[in-house]
Amino acid sequence: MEISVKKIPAGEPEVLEIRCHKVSDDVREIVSFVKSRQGQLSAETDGRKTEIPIVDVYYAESVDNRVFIYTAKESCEIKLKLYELEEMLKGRTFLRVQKGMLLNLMKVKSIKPALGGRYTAFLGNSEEIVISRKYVADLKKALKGGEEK
Amino acid sequence: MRIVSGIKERLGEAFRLYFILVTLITVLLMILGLMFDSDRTFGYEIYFSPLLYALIGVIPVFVFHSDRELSMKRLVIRNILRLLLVEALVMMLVFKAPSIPSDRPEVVAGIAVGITVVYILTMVVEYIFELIQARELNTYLEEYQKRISDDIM
Repeated sequence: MEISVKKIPAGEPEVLEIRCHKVSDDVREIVSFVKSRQGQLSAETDGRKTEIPIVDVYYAESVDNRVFIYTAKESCEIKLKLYELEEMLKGRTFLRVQKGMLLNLMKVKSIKPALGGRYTAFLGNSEEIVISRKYVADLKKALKGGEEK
Repeated sequence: MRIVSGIKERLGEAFRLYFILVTLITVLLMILGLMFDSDRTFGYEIYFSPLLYALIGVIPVFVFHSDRELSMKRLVIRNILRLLLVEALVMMLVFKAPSIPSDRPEVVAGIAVGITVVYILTMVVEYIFELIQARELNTYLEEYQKRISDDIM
């Protein structure tokens, strides 16, 4: 089987396509590996259950004891506490940037200062997230290669 | 643990603010002195003045402080309250200090305006530091994203 990797512009959706003559056990194994590698979150949107790949999540926010995850175009509720989600995402590219918010660092386009020692993270989906003053040191540490908290 | 980190954060903020204030107050005293009292001479003890006034300037850091994430509106209100507190404290000192001609309204007005200018300049200086930090964070962010992308590949 030939393997090719092609880089695409940031705006295009990422696709992994396996072109095979037959969906063999080997192919199933590859698909299963990719799914587990990417990770998915079970969420609810408009009353229907859906699976959201973790890599698609821009940020997660706790509002009135409910946790919502935000992708490029939609928001879904997940039945987890924020600290449980934080634990689940440990070792990935997520970092707490406010008391009630986890941010996917891979979705940040740039960071600019806001008033009072805070910073604003500009995301790929044109949203802006405030990075609280007390989490700036953690952000710096994470970006420099330390452990994400 | 949270209280200790809160105190540490406030001390760090006060420490940074203190040295910015010392510099700006020294400039303010020079300007006001040249404007209203240029013939006057002082002893070496005058060097304590900026250090003392800067100490007053950092008091609001410990008075108006919230552990909660403030909205932009609340942040602006807090900054105005901090400014008013500094104005009140310095004015108390001005009217008690015999070396300051507080009977001249233009001197009192000059000091009040000067405090506001120093306060705004302090925020400008802090913003410049934050801009430098943001530039550093963006460099680290770019390297981080590249590193993670390379790891995936």
